[in-house]
Amino acid sequence: MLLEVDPAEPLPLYEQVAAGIRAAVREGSLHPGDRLPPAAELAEALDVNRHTVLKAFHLLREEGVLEFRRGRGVTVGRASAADVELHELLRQAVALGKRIGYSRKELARMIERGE
Amino acid sequence: MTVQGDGTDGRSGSARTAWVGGASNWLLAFGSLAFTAVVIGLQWQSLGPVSLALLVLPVAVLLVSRVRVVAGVHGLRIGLGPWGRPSRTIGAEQITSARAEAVSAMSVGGWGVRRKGTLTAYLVRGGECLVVTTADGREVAVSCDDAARGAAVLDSDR
Repeated sequence: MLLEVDPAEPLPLYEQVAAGIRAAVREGSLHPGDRLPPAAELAEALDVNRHTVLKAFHLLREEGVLEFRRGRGVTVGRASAADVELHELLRQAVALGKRIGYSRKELARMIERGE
Repeated sequence: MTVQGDGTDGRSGSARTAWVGGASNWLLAFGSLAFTAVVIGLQWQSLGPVSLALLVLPVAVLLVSRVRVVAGVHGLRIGLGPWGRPSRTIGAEQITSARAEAVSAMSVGGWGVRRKGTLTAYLVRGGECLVVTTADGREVAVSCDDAARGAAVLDSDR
């Protein structure tokens, strides 16, 4: 898994870390069940605050990409690759919607109506 | 260390890259767990000091059944076993070069933590390794799939 952070990028550092982990899951360098290194180790390798990495972990847990399991630490979730792709598409849809004037609520309604 | 909640670290600087890799040997892992099950099964009535001594072996084997490497700004961290501990860190300032190289288990005397001359090898299987040269002229090799990517991260500032 290759992770990159660039302070010059507008995206917050924790979002960059999360994006790197998502990419690793999508391309298969991380498999469901794989254990991630502790946040402290990723933080020292990237020279970022440990809480930045933890924030990325928590975000990815909300998305279902990562799971926190007692005794196993932070692992890649079971249905991950598809979940990652779905979240990516949703992010793009929301961004596009924002650009052309659709709110999230309107997008949700469109999905429910089956458009 | 101050903690900022807005997602920025307050750290300036250039882009940084980290690489997480490693390798595992399922045969060693499975073998040691199977051995443990057999020992416990046979000794179930009387788990005494001998059985406990016997169980040290599968734990030791488990520790060398898997290795994880984290390469980045700090240098290289090598973590043994399913828990990533014990671990060893080679500081960035100690690393003079890094490369990918195939190392056969036979050439270093088998799997595990091996020493041969000025080379220390953390081998879970023969084959592709991440090899770093340190300032004192010694070398450290770690079993690592796709090791070239890890070497690139360590070598980029040399």
